[in-house]
Amino acid sequence: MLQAIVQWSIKNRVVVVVLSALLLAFGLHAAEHAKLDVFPEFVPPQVVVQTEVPGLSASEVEPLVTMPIEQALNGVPGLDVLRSQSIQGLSVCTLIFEDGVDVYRARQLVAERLTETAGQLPDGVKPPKVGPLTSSTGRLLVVGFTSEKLSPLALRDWAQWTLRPRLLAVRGVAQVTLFGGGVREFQVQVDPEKLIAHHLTFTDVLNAARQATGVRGAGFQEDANQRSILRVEAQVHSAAELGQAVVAMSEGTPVRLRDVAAVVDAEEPKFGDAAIDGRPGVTVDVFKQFEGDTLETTRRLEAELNRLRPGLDQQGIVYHPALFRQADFIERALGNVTQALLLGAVLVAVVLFVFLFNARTALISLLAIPLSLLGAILILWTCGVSLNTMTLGGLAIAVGEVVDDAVIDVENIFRRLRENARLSRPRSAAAIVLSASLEVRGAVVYATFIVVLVFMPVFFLSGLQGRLFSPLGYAYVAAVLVSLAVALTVTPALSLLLLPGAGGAQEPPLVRWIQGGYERLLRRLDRELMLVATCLATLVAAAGWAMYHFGGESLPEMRESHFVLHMQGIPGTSLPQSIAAGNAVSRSLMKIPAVVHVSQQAGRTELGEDAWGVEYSELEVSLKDLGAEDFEAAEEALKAALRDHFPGFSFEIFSFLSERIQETISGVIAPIAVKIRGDDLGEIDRAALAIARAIGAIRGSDNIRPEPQTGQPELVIRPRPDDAAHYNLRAADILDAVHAAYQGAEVAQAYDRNRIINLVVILEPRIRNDPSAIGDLWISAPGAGSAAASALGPTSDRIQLKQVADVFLSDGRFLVRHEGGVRQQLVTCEVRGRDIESFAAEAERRLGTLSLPAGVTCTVTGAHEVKRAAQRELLSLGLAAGAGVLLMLGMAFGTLRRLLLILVNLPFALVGGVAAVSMMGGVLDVGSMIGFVTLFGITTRNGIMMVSHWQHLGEAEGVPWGPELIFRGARERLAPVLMTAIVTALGLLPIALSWGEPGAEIEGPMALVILGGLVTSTGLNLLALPVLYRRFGMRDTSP
Amino acid sequence: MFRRWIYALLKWVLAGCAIGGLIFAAYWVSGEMRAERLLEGDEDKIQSPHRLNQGVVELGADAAERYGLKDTPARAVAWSLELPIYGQVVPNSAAAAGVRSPFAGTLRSTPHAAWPEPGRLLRAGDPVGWIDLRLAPQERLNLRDNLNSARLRKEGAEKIVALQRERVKRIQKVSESQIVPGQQLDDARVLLADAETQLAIATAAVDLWKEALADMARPGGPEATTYSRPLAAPADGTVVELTARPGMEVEAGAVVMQLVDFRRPLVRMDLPRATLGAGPPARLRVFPISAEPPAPGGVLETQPPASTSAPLEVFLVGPSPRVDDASQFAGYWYTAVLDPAQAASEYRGASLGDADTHAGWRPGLRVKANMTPPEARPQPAVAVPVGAVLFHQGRSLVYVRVRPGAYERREVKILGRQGDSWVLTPRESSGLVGLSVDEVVASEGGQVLLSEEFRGDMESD
Repeated sequence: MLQAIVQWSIKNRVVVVVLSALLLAFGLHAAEHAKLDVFPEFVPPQVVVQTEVPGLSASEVEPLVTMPIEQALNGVPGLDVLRSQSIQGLSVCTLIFEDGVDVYRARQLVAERLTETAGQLPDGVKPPKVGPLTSSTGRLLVVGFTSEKLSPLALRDWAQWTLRPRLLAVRGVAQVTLFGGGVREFQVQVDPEKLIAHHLTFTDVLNAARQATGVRGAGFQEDANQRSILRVEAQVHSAAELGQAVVAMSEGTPVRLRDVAAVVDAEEPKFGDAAIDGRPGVTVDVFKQFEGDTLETTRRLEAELNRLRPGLDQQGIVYHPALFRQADFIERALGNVTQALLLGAVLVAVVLFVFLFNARTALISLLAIPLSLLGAILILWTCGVSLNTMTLGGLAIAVGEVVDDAVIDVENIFRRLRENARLSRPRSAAAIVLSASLEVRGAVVYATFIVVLVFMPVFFLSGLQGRLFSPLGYAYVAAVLVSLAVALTVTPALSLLLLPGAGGAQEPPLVRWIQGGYERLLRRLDRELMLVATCLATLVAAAGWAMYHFGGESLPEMRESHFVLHMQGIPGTSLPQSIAAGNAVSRSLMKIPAVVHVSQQAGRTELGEDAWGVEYSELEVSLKDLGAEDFEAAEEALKAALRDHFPGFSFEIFSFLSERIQETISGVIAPIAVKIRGDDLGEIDRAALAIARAIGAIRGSDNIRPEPQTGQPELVIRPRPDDAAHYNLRAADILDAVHAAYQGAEVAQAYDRNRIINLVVILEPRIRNDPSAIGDLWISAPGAGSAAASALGPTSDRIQLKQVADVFLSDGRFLVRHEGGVRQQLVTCEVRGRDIESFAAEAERRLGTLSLPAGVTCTVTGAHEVKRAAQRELLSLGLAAGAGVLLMLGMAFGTLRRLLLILVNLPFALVGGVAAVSMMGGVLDVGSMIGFVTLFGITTRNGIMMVSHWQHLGEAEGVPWGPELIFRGARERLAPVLMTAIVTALGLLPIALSWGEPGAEIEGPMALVILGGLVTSTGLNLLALPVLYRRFGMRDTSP
Repeated sequence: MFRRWIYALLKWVLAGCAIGGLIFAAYWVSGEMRAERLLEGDEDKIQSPHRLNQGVVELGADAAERYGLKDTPARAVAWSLELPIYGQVVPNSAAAAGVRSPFAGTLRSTPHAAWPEPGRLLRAGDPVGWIDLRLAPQERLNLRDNLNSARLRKEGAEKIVALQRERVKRIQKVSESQIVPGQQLDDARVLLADAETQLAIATAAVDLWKEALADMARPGGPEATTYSRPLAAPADGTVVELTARPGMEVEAGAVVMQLVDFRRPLVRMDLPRATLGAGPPARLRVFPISAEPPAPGGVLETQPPASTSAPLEVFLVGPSPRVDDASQFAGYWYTAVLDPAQAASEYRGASLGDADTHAGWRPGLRVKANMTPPEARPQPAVAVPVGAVLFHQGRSLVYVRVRPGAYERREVKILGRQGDSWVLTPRESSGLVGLSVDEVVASEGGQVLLSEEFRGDMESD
């Protein structure tokens, strides 16, 4: 079949050239229109269900809201894990589905199940909402607005009702959330003494406010000619209008709302706020749609924002663009990868020319790069895969690889044409090209398939690693397969078109020079088998020992010109305190020259998916565009500015991508995490403390931390049923009274243009914020509700809360966490001075002896599990792939000896790869492991080339078995082996050198591992393999 | 042979050195890189040491300034528990008077003056109008009969007065020897006073009928058929109700109009029963619960409007006869002090629209007062700004400055609130709870201290 393909290509070479030109054109089109993104979708299919529960504490949200929702959602087909968090005012359930589940179908199933909860949730709970479908790196853009002229209410009003709808209308935008400012509502701030003065109750005020506005259909009037629509304008449009509403008539005089309350425009109670560079403002977070194009959507957004700009100045609004801009990372990464590709291509071109000493051969070889890469991009685009850091990284790593096939082919063709030119009766160029192509074709095809085969485990990796690295594998494999196709078709066709005239050319001088020296060295080494073997064994043993001591991490730290700073105070910290502390931090960070903006988002926002309390803030720190060194200096300056300067708050600093990845890992961030499950919250808290003590006694433990879930100051109101019964009061009466007074009773909505404004009746702030006044709250007492009784005195028909309830301080829970519908606590731990595996094993042993309360269980897990699982998977899948490789090599070479001699390249490569990892600090991450996988595929090709050539010399050319066969074969293979190795290495060199630069965090270590492995495997392939082959690869005449 | 052996050894040594050198170089570089990674890689969490030293949070002056921490000294205050109580101004029957017609007849307004309308201020004796009687023989007979009855009642009253005077004299003589208790003498005096009162009433009635008959006997003589008598306001007051108008026929004794003296408000206060151990308070300062509308709506920040009414000092009258059977508050009446001189000056030339001291205290007005429960005694206490007190683990805490930038947590007990201050118990000499006067506390930003002390604790304290 291969012969037929090559023959057809040679025969129809013009067609092939035209087709390749078309491939280039379509590939460019695909590159231009492909979706560009930061990362592939690394979040498993998941659905987030959020339920707002105004006023309820975490301990109440959990049983009343979260548990019914969990019960409804448990058992959704394809569900892997169900996690939930209950905090004050909010329930968040996160359903994580198995890989491969269709996320749209999953959302449909969840929505159907949620309808079951209708009627099960308490009054006042807003309907559960399924969060919008966004991608894993969904946050596209964060911009900010401040104003000296507009109040926080007015600014937020503008952002909510003018800006947000316009941004939502931009194609590709899934969600826009706002932080900061104040959400406007009409508040009827009731003064209880005025109610007494007018002999009214809170209920009267509630009813009056409820009826103060409304919209009703009024129908139409019609006569023989016309129909007129009736419309009643009875809405309130301002607080002043609302204040006019009548509450009661007192001796013919109306008592209005404004007579018993301050009716004002006010902010609804906040659970989040924002500041920009230390000033109050509004931040706008824009999220893109699932599988949306980041760059394109960002451009459209920015165009829309620019259209709004002229109006902002008039209103006195200052626009802060790009507090965070994800597209920056893509553009930078694209730029870096493009630069690396171009540089690599140039270096490859130089090497090719130096080795081949012929511009046409260099050109034919070089053409494989754009054809292969664009062909791969076309395949990815057709399959709907975006161009992101990983796919571009895969293509970048493939640069050197894709040219290898062409180089081997062209080199052989060129050599055979030169040899043919020296014959007395030279054959036709077409025949030479065909035979030369076929000569190397078998080995190269097998080598290519082996490269693809060793990459198979990457496609089957599960979890985060699989989702991240599979696209890299797809891109790499696609490029390699396209390069094979190019080598089978385009290279022979172009060779026939361009090279026949090169038949009289001389051997390249460099090649002549190194071949001589190489052969002499080889002959000397041939006499020192023991020395060579001992050195090899020593190096391999050293590599094995070094590998044993490698540390590990799942993913490297991402470096972008943007940091996300998590700042947390203890539960109970107020929102103004969080903002004030954030402002202090912002002022300090703004002094660092590299910092451009610092924006803070404290707490959460209504439409966001985060379940944080107001003691928690995220600060976005955007830096200038920096190189690796300046970046490290800036990072160190940030940490120095924070370390020990802001007591009372703990800080964590992440890059944007690292932070997104950490959130995806869903809580298991620490190396060791013990999950404690049980029914009783108190028991699992106590168990957590006991477990923390037990772990603290293990050698190597550090920074042991039970997850804080308690510590929220609470004022508890506990009714006394007997006293309440005395006044004919039920629990609901007390609940309603307290709810209306302190949380506020939302009684109606007003509509102003496109704005929806809530009408809320609430106690006036002066009393509401006084803890000592809670017990004095007046409650209507139905038991004394007769007119006669009420005539006796102003308070005859009402009582104070303290008469029927105890009010006391307590310590409450601010978070209740579930996993799989079961309550959960978490104890995390760092490990120092020993390996994590042994620590985890010892922890499991110790915890196994711990006596825990009945019903409480614990499991040792952590980020190490993730890495270990990935390693196990890679190992097992790698073994399977290895078996496949062995089978393929067996099919290609027939004998066990040759097979083993080819495989001796693997330890050769291992030595260099391990040396590279050691020089990077001895930390093996998944990227490095994939680098090893890639390396093994590449180096196997070199072994195949050597062994197959010896086989060809012996079987096809009849060279007798002996040292001369070995030395001649090695000499003849020196140039292509060196070329392919150097070309591959040079293609990777720019990426390897940019290790540490933003955009090369994953590919850099991969490239370094491959580079290191290439150095040793090429050297040992050329020097040690011939020696070993001469001793152990005795001629085998069996087919 | 030897040279070959040396050459072989040299080869091995050189190879060993080369391999060893490579391995050592790789190991050294690895060590350097590992150290660098450890330095940067472990610090996603920015660890700051706890600034807690033997229970004192050493924040430091820089950090305190950065956070805007403010300190305020605790000040001494006298604290006694006060309960808010509520009440209402009720109609005061003692301040109400009715203009009655002594005779049956027809009402007539005073010539050249209008019949008083509601809201008009009247002084005692101010003419209101006239009552015209029809004098037929039957009416004259009735009047004479009335006069006779009045004379007989007067004679009876005189006799009773004489008897009571004798009784008093007798008992006085005996009481000097202390044989009879003083109570009997007091009772006798009360009865004498009552008898004298009845005599005075009877005498007044005789004079009234005599005068009326004398008037009827004047011009017109016994043949006259009408008799007119002026009607006057019996006491100071404001006309609140008109029950009759000129031209109406009224019966004898009918109320023609009601007058209320609003300068004598009566307030009914609802007192919690639990506070009545030693009886209701004798005096209170009551404030009106204003029904005034606040500032127009639409402003973001509103302050409560300043009260325009001064408080009213009221004194206990006695228990209110009606009981609130649902809430079981005990109702007591209180009345305001009436300054006669002031009252007179207020009515001199008074007319509608003139402000008077108690013009706002109309029946129906809701009032409130603060009452000190009998068991509550004024006690020394300390006051701190509201921002100084924090709540943690069910306790109330403050942070006391021990030296600049260093604060120590102290548990406190809250007595109550006074405006923008919490009132706390003072610290006992060796106590761990409470605050001493002039101890300086963190009044703004104290949450940072709490956060620093309790962040990252493995165990609660």
